[in-house]
Amino acid sequence: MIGLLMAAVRESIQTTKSVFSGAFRQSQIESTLFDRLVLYGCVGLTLFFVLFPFYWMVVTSIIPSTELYRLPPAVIPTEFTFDHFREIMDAQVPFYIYFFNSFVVAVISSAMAVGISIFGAYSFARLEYPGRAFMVRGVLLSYMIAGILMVVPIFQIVVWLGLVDTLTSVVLTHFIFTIPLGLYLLGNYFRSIPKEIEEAGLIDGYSRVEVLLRITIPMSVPAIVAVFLYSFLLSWNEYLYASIFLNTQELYTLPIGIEFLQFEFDDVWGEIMAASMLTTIPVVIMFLYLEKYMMAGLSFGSMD
Amino acid sequence: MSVISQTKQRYDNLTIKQKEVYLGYALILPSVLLVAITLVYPLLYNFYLSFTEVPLTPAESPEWIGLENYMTLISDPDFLVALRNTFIFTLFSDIGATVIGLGVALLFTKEFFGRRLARGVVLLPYIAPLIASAFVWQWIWDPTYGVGQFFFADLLGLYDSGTDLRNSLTMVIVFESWRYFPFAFLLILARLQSIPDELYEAAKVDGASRWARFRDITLPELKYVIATVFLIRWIWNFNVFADVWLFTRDVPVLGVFVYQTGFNQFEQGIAAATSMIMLVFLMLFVAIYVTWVIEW
Amino acid sequence: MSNKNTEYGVELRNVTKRFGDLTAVDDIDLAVRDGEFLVLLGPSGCGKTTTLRMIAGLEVPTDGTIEMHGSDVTEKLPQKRDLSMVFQNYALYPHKTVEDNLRFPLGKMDITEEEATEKVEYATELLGIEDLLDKKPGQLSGGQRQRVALGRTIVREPNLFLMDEPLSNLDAKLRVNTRSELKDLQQQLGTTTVYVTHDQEEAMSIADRIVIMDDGQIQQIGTPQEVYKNPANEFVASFLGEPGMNFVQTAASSNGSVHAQITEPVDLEVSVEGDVPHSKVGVRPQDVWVGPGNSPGAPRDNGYVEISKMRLETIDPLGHSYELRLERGDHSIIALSDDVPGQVGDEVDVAFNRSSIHVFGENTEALSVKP
Repeated sequence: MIGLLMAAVRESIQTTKSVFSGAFRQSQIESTLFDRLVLYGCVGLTLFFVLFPFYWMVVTSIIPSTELYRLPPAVIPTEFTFDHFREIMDAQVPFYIYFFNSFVVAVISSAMAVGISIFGAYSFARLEYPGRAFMVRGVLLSYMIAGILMVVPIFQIVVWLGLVDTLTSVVLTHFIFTIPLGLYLLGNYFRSIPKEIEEAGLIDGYSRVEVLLRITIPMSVPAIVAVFLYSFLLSWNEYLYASIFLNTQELYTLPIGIEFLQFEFDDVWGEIMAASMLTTIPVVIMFLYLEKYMMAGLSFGSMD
Repeated sequence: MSVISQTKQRYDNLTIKQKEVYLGYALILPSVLLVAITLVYPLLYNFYLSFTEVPLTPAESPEWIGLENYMTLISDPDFLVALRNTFIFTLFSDIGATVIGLGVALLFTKEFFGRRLARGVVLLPYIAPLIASAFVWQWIWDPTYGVGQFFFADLLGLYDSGTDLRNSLTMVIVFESWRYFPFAFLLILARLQSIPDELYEAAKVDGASRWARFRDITLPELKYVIATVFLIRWIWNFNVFADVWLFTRDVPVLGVFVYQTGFNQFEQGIAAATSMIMLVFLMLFVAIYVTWVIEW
Repeated sequence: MSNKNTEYGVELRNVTKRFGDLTAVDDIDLAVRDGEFLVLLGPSGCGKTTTLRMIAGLEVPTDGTIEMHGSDVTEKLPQKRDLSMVFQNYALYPHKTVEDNLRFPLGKMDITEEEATEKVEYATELLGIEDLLDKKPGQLSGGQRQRVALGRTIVREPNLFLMDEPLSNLDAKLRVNTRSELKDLQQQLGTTTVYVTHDQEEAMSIADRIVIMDDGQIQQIGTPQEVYKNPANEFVASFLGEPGMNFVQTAASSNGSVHAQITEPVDLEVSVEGDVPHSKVGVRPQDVWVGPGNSPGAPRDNGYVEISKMRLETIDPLGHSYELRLERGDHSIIALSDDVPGQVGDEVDVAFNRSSIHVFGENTEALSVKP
């Protein structure tokens, strides 16, 4: 976060400089005052459009219910409380249980997806064999097939495996659904590593697999982190499969747990917003720290 | 000779090319098998299930009923509404996200104070957990105490106080556009930044107006990326379930229809048939789009 | 590894490499002698790098075999060939320190930790890179990286060094210094070396023997002296030397002599074996004598043949000498001269060194010139 702030400061210093030098030059090509007003107006509007819901989420979670349910709404709050947070933690199934479940599911499924797709991606990126192009296309095609299109058969399979109402079923589906992403992103990254570095490893006496383990993977840490984070995010967000597999409240992941809050409390918005905020914070922190790693994943598109 | 040493011997006798082929298969096999098992098999199984009545207890096997599920669907007004909603939703939230994303990306080609920080902030709707976004939007448009309701209905009088906008397809489209415009923004901005400045400078020297520069330089350069964004968003909007379901229960799209039919009414055969119809529409669209619009 | 000692460390027999429709290497035979410094020289796309990569095992020949010390290694994996290689972009492991880069090749050898340390120390001392050991490749200059790459190549003391344009990423001055060091190093270690370059000056100064390649085929193999003095064909003749050789189309020959009608009154007449319908005469700019127009004439006694007068068209100072363009009628030749024989537009005397005249036949092959 500090890094991001520093960069922002640096950037704004540069921008300010150029604004000043522009003012001194006073050329007609430089933007007019009117232009700049319009520009900042648009930027302000965009940021408001983007940020207001989050602002409202934070406000709702920290003001007392009496302030919440009144008109006009307390757009600028004056009273603060942590009651909503306390309540979701003191609920029959405390909120941190959902948090923990989601965390476990996301970490395990992402780790497995990364682990398996490293090898597959290397195979796609570096080795030549008949059928490779076909498989690459097949994996990309799987991108089109969203969860909802297979929800019935996969539910049937999970029933047949006897995994209904276990976190294992959720882990497995999240794991497998993020493999194509890993194959695609890591494959692209491996292709960007100069071939000669791996060839040097071969010549230095190591086999392909040893080169992969001792050179390619250590060199690809940024990409591996990116894939891990992105699959973590997908798992953290996933609602559909978690909601049909899980029945026991103690096993709920965050999305199901938060949804369930609705039925547990009256006038739920304070509690729901508190829970939503707790769910959002880890993602935002992750993003702030690792923005550049995550860009590749974000450009790949959504999965749920 | 032991099996291991025999295998090793056989491996040693392979040519370099053969070794590479074997290694390639060995490394890709786990991924491809898993993806195939969870993709190809379920798709085929789904195809089969769509012609059956799926029993509630897993011990019994599905009963073949031919085209009955499809017949039921065609004459089901709820299905037809969901189909119509899906097309409207997909088209307009795709256009919404792409146009807003394009606009904001163009904005970010200008220099302004704190641009780098703002770029990160703009991505928030896209990276924030769906459940949080969906619920905060629900709360903002709450018909009694919602802040959006208060501002637009009570204060500005743009619509009747007490109307629950959350039930309208329009609001779902606005929500989805809000959530996914950063995706379009990200891809379009990356492309915009790779357009060389010389092009614009040359056009300026030639006296081209702002609009002319946008039309003759920017748009042609962006054609491909916009087409890609539109396609990707189309695929995901068409398959939408959770975004709509968590925002409102009152706007049925096909994804919601599948979920309700399959897991509330436990008519899984009909749900499977609906998925099949979705898949066919989706593939038709992608095929047409790729052939006539993008010409890949 | 079987140690059937032959004179040749590496032998390529009828080796062909095709990439799809493209034939990169076309049926070549090549034998590398033990301990020699062999340079593969040619323009880009001539197949020299592909040849090197096939020796390394990074590419597999489409046809033909490769032997090392008498045993067939065509299908042997690179890691089993006991050779090391310097890549054009050095290919250092960016995530490892210099020391770990040097130590990495020793990892698969059957030696103790102490022996490995000794070997690393020996290599670092030899190359003078002791103070770089803790740095990562990204922190090094181009020259330093090149040294580390070289260190990684020699540390394992393999049977064969392969080098793919190892100096091409250095600036001109460093390149000249480094190449003589490289040559010293190779002589000191006595390791057979195959070296690829497109820079003829580099090749000339460093090689025991040069293999000149073009279009996937070997044009000539020989010592720097041989390939320069006795080019086997027109390509070799034109490729080597700066500026390039002058060629003059000759009239049809008769009775074993060809006539190049550069000048009047005297034709340049050269005797060759047999009758040759179409041939060219070639003379290097260095072998053209140019004198002032009123000079007593060319040094005929020293084996020069006088061609008489040509017009001086341009004078380009090169620093150490002058490049002169001379014309007469349709003919134009380039000469190198230590001093300026006159002014632009002047008629000057021109003569060729008889012993340096080359004749190339119909198929561009060199014909032997009778003295």
